[in-house]
Amino acid sequence: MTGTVTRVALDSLPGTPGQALASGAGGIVVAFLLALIAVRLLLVVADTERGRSILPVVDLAIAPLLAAFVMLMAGRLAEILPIG
Amino acid sequence: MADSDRSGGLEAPRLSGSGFTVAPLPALLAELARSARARGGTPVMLGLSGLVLVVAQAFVLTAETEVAVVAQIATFTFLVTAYLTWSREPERGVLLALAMLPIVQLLSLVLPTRVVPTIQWFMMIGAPTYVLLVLVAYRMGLRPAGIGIRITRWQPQVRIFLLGAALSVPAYLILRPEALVADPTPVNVLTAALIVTVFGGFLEEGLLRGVIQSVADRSLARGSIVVSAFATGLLYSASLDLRYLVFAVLVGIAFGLVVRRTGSILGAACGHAALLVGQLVLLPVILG
Repeated sequence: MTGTVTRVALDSLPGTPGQALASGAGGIVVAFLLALIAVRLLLVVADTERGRSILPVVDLAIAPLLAAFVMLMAGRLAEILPIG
Repeated sequence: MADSDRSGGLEAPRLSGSGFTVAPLPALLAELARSARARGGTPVMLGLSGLVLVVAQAFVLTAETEVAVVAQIATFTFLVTAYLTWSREPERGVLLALAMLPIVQLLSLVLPTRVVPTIQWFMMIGAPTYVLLVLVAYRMGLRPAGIGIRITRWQPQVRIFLLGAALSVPAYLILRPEALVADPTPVNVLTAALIVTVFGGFLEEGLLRGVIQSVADRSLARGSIVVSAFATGLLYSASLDLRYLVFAVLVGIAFGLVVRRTGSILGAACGHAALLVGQLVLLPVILG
């Protein structure tokens, strides 16, 4: 599953985690993640019943994308820091 | 009759001002669903969602990565908005379960890098997908037994495991993948097999049969197998091999039937893992 999707993008794969963060696709996903976080904050501030029901659905996207972002950042740090 | 029934089970916010009528996505969806209800409701709504997923996947297959990413984000937004505006239970749950697919596609498109070995891509994509899986299952009120993590009669489970192991041979012959393990020492092969099992077989079964099929089963009964097979085909279409796509869909239907009949995904998960380990780890080393 995951391997087959990646095969499509094989020719345009970034070389390193740093390049992945700097690439157009990576940038769009990070922008999407930031937008979701902003929406979440607005919903929390709005404090309405409807907003509270939407929060868990927004979290569905934020959690995996945030985990992915953290992994990319960890890869980037390993790339630039002299830690082995 | 309740308001939500009269409006096709939807709550449609309408915005207007300065002489203009703004038609936000929820309102458009509400309109669509209203007409969908007149033509049978649920099948039309699910068909529309399926169409959106197929179009987004077409972008993955044919367009630049950036365009594909935007298409997947738009698809996720569509499915989640449709889920939030459609109040018919339990049908709308299928939309939220299907909304996992664009997120998985996003992770698959963005996370891998050339410097990281291919086998590690499974973990990089699989770990966030497990987070997604758990959150969706929690949101849908699915306990472990609800997604099929339970022991039922062991004979059919063993049979489906053996079937999965046997199917690894045609799967390998169709796709002829490169070996995941560059240096095939016993430790490397075992490590790769473990990674493919946990982040491939178990994860995909949890996603496709565990959550998507279980949620669809609440409202569509036998149609849930069609939904999970559709999701399987969608994800495997990126193999760019029609024979492999047909193979994956048929295997998905077989696994779906077994899961529906036994109420457990354990056999299908082990069978799926055996298929992937044979196809991606063992056979490339033995035959390659």
